[in-house]
Amino acid sequence: MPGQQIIAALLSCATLIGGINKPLYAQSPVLAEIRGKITITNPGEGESDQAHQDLFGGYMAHGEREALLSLRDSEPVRSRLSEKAVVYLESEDANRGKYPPPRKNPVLNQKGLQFHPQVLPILVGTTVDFPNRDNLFHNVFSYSQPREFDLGRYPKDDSRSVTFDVPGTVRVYCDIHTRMSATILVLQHPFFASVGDAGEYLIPNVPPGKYTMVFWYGREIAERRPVTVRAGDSIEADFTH
Amino acid sequence: MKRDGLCLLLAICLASSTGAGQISGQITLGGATEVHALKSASTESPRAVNSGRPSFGWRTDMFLTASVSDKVGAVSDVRVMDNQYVSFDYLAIRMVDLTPIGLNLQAGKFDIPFGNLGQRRFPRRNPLFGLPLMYEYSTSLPEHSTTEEDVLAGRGKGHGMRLLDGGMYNLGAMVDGSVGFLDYALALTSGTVSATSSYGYANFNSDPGKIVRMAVTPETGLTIGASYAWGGYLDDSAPVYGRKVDAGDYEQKAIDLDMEFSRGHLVLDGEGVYSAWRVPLETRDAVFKAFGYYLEGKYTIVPRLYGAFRVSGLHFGDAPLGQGEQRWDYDTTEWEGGIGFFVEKDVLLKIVRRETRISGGTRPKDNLTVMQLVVAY
Repeated sequence: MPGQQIIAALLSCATLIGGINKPLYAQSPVLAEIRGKITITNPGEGESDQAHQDLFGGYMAHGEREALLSLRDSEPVRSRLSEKAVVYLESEDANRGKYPPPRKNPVLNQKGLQFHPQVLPILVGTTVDFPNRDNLFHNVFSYSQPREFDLGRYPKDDSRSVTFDVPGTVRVYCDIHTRMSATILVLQHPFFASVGDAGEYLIPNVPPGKYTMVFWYGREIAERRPVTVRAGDSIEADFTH
Repeated sequence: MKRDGLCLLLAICLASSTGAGQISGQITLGGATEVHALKSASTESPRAVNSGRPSFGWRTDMFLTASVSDKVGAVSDVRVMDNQYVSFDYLAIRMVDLTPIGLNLQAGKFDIPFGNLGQRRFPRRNPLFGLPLMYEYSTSLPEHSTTEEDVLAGRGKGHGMRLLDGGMYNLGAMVDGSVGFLDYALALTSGTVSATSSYGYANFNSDPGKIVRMAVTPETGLTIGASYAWGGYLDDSAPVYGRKVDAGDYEQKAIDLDMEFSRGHLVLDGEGVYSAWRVPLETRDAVFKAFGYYLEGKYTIVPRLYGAFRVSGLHFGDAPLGQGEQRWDYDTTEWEGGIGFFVEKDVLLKIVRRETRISGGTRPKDNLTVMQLVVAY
C-alpha cells in the first residue's frame, strides 16, 4: 500500500497547490450567510405606468396596443421587487476565485413590451437566454462595453442566447420598443441574490472576510454598506429605499 | 379653418363624455433632435438643396403624452425646423380600448392611416436621410386651380402638390382597432392625402377626405396593407379659369398597397401608390394620374452599424396639355444608400448618398451627400 499512500500524498499536495483556483466557499471550513429584507417606500414609476402612457402614443404596429393593454391589466409590476432588486457583495478576494457558471441558463424574458426581470445578476461566463413571449417581434441588443450584441428580430417563443465572459454592467434594450430596458450585472463571484416578491433575500455560502454589500434597485445602485463576515455567521442586513 | 375648429371641438366633447377609467393624470415628455451637413448638386431640380451650396440644417421634435384616465389621453408632437417654422404635427385626443374588441378613437391632428411610413418619418427611425419620392417630391400640379400652361411650365420645378403630403398629418377624426391578425382604420379629414390641411392653401371645401385602411399580419414580421382615400382637394373659393364649376367637386382618389417584412437583422418596407386627380382646366376637365413606389431595406451588419438602401420612383400619366397628350411631370427615379452608426443607444450618426434621375428638363441628374447626427431623449 505505500504506493497508494504516495499517490494520496501527491493528490493532497496538488489539491493544496491548486486550491487557489477553487471556489472560496469550497476552501472555507465554515461558511456564513447574509439574509435580510428590502423595503421600498417610494416605488417611483413602474412598468404598468409606462405602459399606460404608451397606450396613447401614435404609430403603433400590429399587436403593440394589445400587449400594452395586457400589461396594464396585470398586477402592477412595481409591487414585485423580484423584478428590479438585487443584493450582491463586492470583494477583491472573492473576485480572485474561479466559479463554474450555472448549468441552467438564466432567462431574461420579453413579455408585455417589457423585460422580465429588469435586473438580472449572473456569474461571469454564464449564458443568458432571451425568449420572446410577445406575439410580435422584439430586437434585443446592447452596446455596453462588457458585451455588445444585437440579436435581430425573432418571433414569439423563439429564443436567442448570449454568453457574458467579461464582468461589468450590461444595459439591454429592444431596438423596436424604446421603453424596454433591463440590466444584466455580470459578477465575478456567486455571492449575490435576487430579491423575492416580499422583499426577502438570502446570500448563502459566503466565505469569511470583509465585503461591501451592494443593494441594486432598478437601473442603479441604491446603497452600499460594508460588512464583515465571520465563520458560521448568519448576518441580517435590511435595506430601505 | 371652421372645419379645423369643429374637429378639435368634437375631440374635446368626446373626451369629456368618456368618464370611465381610473384617473392617472400623468405626462410624459420626450424628443429627438437632428443636425446635418449636406451638399447637393447645383441644379434647378426640386431635389437640390440651397442651390447646391454646402449647408447645415436641423430639426427637433418634442413629444408630449398626457393621460387623463385609463382610456383617455392626449398626444402632441411639436416640430421645429431650421427655418424656425414651428408646427404641431400631432395634436390629438385619443381614447383607447373603448369596446370589448378594442376600438380606439382619436380626433384632432394626427398621422393619417394611409401607407406604412409610421415612425420612419422621424430621423431616429428613418434609416436614411430623406423620405421616399412620393412623400417629398413636389409635382407640377398645384393644390389650387391651374391652367395647362402652368402645369407644363411647372414640370420639374417642384411647386405643386406631393403625391403624399410630407409628414402625412391632417385634421380630422379616426377610429381604428384590431381583430385577430387584421388591423383596420377609418378616418375623416379636412384635406386629402396630397393636400392636407397642414399647409396653408389647403382643402377647405365641402367634401372631406375619407380614408379606409386594412392591414393583415399573417405572421409575425410580415404586414401587408391597403389604403384607399378620396375627397375634394380644391378650395371652394378657388377660381376655375374661364368656366363656372364648383371647385370643391374636384376630387383626388388614391390607392396604396404596402408591406413590411422583417426577420433577423433585415427589415424591408415597400409601398406603391396610385393617385388620380380630376382637374378643371380652362375648357375641360382632365384626369392627372401618377404612380409612386419605393422599396427600402435596412440590414444590421454588426451591433451599432447598419447599412440601408432605398429605391423610389414617380411615374406620371399623360394628360391633355398643349398640343395633344403628354406627361404632366417628369418621371423621376431616386436611389438613396447609406450607413448608420449608433454612437450610443440614442445617438445615431448617418452618412447618406442620394442619386436622382429626372427624365426631362435641363438637368436630368441630381445628387445629395449628407452627414446627419440624431439624438433622441
